[in-house]
Amino acid sequence: MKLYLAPQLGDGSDLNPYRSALNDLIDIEAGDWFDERDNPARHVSICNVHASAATHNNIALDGRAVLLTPIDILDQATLQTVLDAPFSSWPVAFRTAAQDGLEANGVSVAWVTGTNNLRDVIRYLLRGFVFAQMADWDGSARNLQLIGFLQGNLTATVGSLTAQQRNAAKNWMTSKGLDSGWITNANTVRQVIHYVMENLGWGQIPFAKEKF
Amino acid sequence: MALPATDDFNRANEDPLAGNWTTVTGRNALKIVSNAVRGTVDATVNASQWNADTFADDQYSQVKCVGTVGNAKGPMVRVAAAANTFYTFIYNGTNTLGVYKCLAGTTTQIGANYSHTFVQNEVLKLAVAGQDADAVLTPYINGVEQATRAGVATLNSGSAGMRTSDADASDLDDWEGGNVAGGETITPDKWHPVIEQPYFAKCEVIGY
Repeated sequence: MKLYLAPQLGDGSDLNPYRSALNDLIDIEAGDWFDERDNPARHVSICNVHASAATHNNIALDGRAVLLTPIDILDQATLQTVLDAPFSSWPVAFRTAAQDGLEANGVSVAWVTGTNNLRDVIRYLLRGFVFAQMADWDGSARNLQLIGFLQGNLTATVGSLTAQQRNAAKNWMTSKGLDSGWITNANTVRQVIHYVMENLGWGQIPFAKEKF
Repeated sequence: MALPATDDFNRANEDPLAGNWTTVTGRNALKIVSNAVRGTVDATVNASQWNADTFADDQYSQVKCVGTVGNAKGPMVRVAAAANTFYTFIYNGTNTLGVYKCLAGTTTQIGANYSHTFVQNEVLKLAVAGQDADAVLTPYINGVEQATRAGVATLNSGSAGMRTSDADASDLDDWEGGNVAGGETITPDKWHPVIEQPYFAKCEVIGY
């Protein structure tokens, strides 16, 4: 099993629903499968792909998915070992590719130090994806302005977004009991999202039989 | 009425399907023809939700699939009362099925397809348990549990229903919906390989 961050294809319509690009790369008749959690603001998902080495090679050759685990994991104990090892213990090439791929898909890794581990990184990713899911459906409607905020480039300043998007983010934070008074137009999208990641009571998010 | 609710549709033709059924917001109606159910508009999503009972958040829906393969038919759970929002488990190809979420009309597949060859009168079931990111979707084919899928945040309640994209022939029959029993455990990431069955159904894929 390997974890990937993969793009979603489609447009969300009945005839062309959003779906992971990995559906086109795995062989379900051979027993390959995956579960996923998606980020509906950016149309990417984290996938735990149970597949043959050949399938993983195909995914690597395809090049669209970002590899989030450095080895092929055969059991839960190994997954736990991989998740809990310091990020700095993994090869530089893997770390660099993972970090670049995460940033390119709107997952900030600016906070990662050598003492963090993969579990920390994936916890952060999952919180961000659940944040986007909460914007995508709040129980009665889609918060399209908040989705617009979450689609912003991480380095974009709050002032560069529309007033509706800024207000949507502030109002959402207030509704969750978070302080938004510190946010100015000079702050970045990265800073606002990081504040939410660190300060909302997320609880533990399950994925791949683990809690993050 | 008491859960589990059932409907065998063995009554006079009905267009649209009414009484204990409400057409899902933003979708076309189902109808009864010759004691079975089909859509009213071909090649679109025709869907109804049971309205005679209040379902617990942890619920299931199951329906017998007749007619031809494909047609994006199957059960739905957590169907919103006034929005085009639900989870569903449907045929999405000649030999494949998938679990989907639909939020305000935007549809997203969750996880990989399931490999399976359609057999007339087989029963598809979808169960959901848990809230927010802890929600787990468990599909079944003829009572055989398939790999689970992770639910999404905030799609936490609703009612059970069913859907099809075929208006030319009967497609659904013998529906049942109810609450997930207290003692039933849904385990995330459980995997059971699909048992392949003989293929003899006509290939017709409409929608998804």
